[in-house]
Amino acid sequence: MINIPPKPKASYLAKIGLPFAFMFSIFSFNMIDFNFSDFQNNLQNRKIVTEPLFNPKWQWAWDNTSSALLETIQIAILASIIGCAIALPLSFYASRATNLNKFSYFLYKSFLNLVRTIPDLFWAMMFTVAVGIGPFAGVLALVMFSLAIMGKLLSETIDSIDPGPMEAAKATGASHNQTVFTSALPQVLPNFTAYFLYIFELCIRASVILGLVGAGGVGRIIETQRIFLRFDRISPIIVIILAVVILIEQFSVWIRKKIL
Amino acid sequence: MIKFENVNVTYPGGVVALKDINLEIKEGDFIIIVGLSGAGKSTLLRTINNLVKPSSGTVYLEGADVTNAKKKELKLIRSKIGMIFQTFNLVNRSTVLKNVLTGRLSNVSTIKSILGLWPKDEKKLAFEALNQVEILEKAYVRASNLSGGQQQRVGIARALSQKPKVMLADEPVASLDPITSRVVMSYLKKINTELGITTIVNLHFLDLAKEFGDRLIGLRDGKLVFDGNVNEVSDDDFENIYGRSIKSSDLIGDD
Repeated sequence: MINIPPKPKASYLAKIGLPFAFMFSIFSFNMIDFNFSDFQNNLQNRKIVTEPLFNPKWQWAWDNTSSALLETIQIAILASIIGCAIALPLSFYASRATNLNKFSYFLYKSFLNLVRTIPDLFWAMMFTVAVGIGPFAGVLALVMFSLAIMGKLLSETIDSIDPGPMEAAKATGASHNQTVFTSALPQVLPNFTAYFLYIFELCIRASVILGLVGAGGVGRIIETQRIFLRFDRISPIIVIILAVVILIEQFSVWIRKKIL
Repeated sequence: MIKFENVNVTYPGGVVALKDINLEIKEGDFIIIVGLSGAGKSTLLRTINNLVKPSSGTVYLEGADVTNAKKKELKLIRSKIGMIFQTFNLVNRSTVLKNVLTGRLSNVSTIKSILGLWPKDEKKLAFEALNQVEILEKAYVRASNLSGGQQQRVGIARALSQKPKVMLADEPVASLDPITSRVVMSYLKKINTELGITTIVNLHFLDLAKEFGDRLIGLRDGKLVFDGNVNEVSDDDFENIYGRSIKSSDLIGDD
């Protein structure tokens, strides 16, 4: 006979937590007036949305969105390059492996956390106020967006690098900066490139929406057409954006596979 | 040349790694330190270039206080001490040449080293070092594409390019097979006899220690328990250093 140890009892947290989560969900559904009949009624009454949505004006979209779409892509490229370039040195200051000063490590880490907490649309609104409506505000907003994501991903990658080569460089009498550049940076460069491509994808998607708050790009056209309820013009734009995003994603997946 | 005076090391968390070490090492010595893992071998080695700072006591190199050296002075001292490691500690994605040039970092400005603008004589020293361990033809190969034995030779070349006065080797063959281990050990021995570089090697294989060592130092639980010529060491001494009878895993064998 073997002695099977007694099965541990489910924790109190689960016992109390699950019913609580269930009750809270129901309460929330009520609070936001969630009901399925709205779906039905609206779909029947609002032919004004659904009919034009499925009768896209391809020619119009093609003639009027290409330059705005190009602007969207340009915003994304510029912003991801600038944001990631700034994040590269910051990440080394925001990692325990490469910044030995606990206080300055904490400052850089907190700065990156703060930038990340602020949503991209809010950055866009702030910059449209600061530098005026247009694509420049969009670029600045997405610079902050890229900076925050790259800083987070890269500094955590640096945390987990092999400390051996850095110890070896330190032992030769190299300065701290030299040690970081020759022994830490090469270890994370492939990750940096992969993150950059990923962030570029995110920027393309984010820059589509930036136009809604006046920060340039194709979102501006979507916003004006939405006001005039021209869903026959919006649907082809969405399809075109979808195609562009998929294309860029595939391209970046292909490159990432090659370098990692 | 190297002098330990009442050196104690206690790590944060309370682990005592070295207890009251007094030791003198002469120029040109080839010293092997043996002991179980955790006996303090790595710590002892690292107090010589102050990668580990003693909690009390002082280490001197050529009369200069290493333990309490200021930043700039310490860099100068470190540039005279080569070090090689159990796991080689190469930057895998960089070329062999770039790895070896790490040994010259203390001689060039930060800006130049970052931009890769290496002066000709610095590069020449790196190539010479690679030639000394007979791996010059791999200079432009990525370090990760080399075998373990080759990587350790690059590690030796990196240390040699410093033109060091002292060579520290922390378990240099622990990740290698017996044949490659002997190749690496014979390079270290050659460097010691031909270039006169004082060499201190941590080992846990007793047969390798007997084969290559001159002077043997035994550590047990952070205390110096043996110091003598390798020819005088008996099995009893080894059992005293290890605190148990010798097992086959303490020998590297002849494969």
